[in-house]
Amino acid sequence: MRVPVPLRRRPVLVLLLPAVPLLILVSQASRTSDPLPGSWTWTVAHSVLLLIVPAAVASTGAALEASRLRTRRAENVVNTRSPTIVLLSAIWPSYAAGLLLQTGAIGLVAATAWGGSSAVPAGLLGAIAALLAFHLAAGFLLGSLLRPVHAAPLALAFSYCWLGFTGAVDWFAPRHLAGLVLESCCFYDEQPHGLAIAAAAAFSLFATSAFLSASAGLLGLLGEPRAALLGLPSLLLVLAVSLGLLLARPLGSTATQPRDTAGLDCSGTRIAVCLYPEQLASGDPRQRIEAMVLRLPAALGLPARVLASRGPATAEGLTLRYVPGMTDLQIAAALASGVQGDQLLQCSEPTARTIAREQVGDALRGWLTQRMAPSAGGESGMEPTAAALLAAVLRLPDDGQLRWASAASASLRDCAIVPPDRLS
Amino acid sequence: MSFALRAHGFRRAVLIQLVLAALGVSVGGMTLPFPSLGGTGTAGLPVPVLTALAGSIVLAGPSAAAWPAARTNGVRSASATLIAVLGLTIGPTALLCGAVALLLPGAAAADHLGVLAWMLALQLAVGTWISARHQAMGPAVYVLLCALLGRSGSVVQPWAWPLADVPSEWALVFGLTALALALACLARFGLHLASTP
Repeated sequence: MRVPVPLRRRPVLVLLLPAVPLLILVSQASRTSDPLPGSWTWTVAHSVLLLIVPAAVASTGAALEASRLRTRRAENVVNTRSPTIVLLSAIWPSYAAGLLLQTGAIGLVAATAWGGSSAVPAGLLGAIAALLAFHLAAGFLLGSLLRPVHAAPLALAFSYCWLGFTGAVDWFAPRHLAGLVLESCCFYDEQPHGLAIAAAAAFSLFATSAFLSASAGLLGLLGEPRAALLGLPSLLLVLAVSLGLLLARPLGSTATQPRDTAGLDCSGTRIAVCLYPEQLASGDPRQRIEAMVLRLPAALGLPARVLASRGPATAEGLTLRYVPGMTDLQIAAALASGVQGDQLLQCSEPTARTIAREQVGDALRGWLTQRMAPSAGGESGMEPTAAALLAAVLRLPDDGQLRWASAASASLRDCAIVPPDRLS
Repeated sequence: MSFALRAHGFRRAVLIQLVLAALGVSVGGMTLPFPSLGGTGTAGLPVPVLTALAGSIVLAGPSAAAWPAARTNGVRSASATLIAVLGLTIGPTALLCGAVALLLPGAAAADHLGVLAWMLALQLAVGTWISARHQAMGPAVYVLLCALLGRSGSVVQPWAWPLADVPSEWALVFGLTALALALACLARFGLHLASTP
């Protein structure tokens, strides 16, 4: 009976050496969005972007392992060990290396967003494990088909192309099969879409079974080398694609769905400020937020509630895109955007008036920000014309400012209302 | 040399090279959408980069197979044979690209040839210093790095020059210079045979 290859001679160990610095490089390069502290869902989902490296290692390592078995096809046919044991013995180091690197990827993401007591998203972790298995099986199949000189680079290229190309095409369903779209999950008011997780996991697991059974046939582990190319593997692959596309059909371009608002934790005396527990992990800002909102003039209409959400203000209350660690100025600016609404009014009117409306909108947001956080300083990044308009408004007496703000707010909601100038 | 040409699939490689060159030249201006971590969304990979990558990978198998199984006194002649066979394999592609470049100055013929030479140089460098069997990993990893990290905003990193819109003559000079250096190393040291598995 053949002695299993010892761990120290597994090719994936060599691949780990360049993979670790590459993972760190990719992690640094992908650190573009603001981290969401306290949310394990966001941390695990964001680590999916780094799956490119663990998947490449698992795929290439498996291709090299399969190449080793491929050179011994004649021995495989008469092997007394179970084909399953032989396959598992060949693939486990590559799979373990992929999982290890992905754990490192989660750690790298968590380093920027540590803390909190949210639950670990088991579904997302399961989907990631299934995605890695798919890449591993694809590499193993390539190694069973081709010589290592071609199989290893093609396994690497396939792994990246599958993740990358599907994410770049306009047909959304393959994105959910490839799984990279899970990276788009989730702000605090969102949760992973169950169908997105199910589509990625189901497709990956059935395709993995197809590729591994085809590989077992090609490598002579099932006795007859060529017969296994058709039959069961083809059936499994068709099932994988059909089931995956069926599950992914109702999904859009992202893998998120709104989170149940029952999880909101509300507090406040005159205005209820509602945040999710993860947003409260590093300190409770609700009193601060309530005080800011109460500084708004009642003439503009005080909201009954402030809700943690990225969406536009609703009848339920004002929305706030709150991330732990935000300064007073940032909170005030986010609240001001909520008061004003993110949707720019589309009016059929002369360009000059549209520009004036936009400038009034910018100035109103700056005015609201200063009103809510007077000690935090002015909002930066405003266009010079809007900044000049804001400065002029701030020189007006208090009732003049209020009149201007009311008129400006109205002009942003109704095309028939002319945007006010600074003297009104 | 004629045995090497016949026995290790170099003739088939010539045909594949010509097809890839035709593809690379005919759709040279096209980019395929691949996500870039440092760039602006899906900046894309130019088609000549992918055809050149495929061209170099095609040559990896015959090159490794044509090399003697052990380092012997015949290493020098083996190097000369391999270099000559590689030259004969790429020769028709070079002629095709040269002809297209003369007839259609705007086509991406020189780009394809320059990038192919650069990829082959990387492949031979890996084959000489790391592993003959896994030499094709050199250009494959390079293209992966280019796709992922080759852009910073809208700027292409200097090391990822095949992604940039460099003048054709510069692509050709840079690629051929690198290939000449790689061939010199190959002639001096031969392919590296110790590898796993």
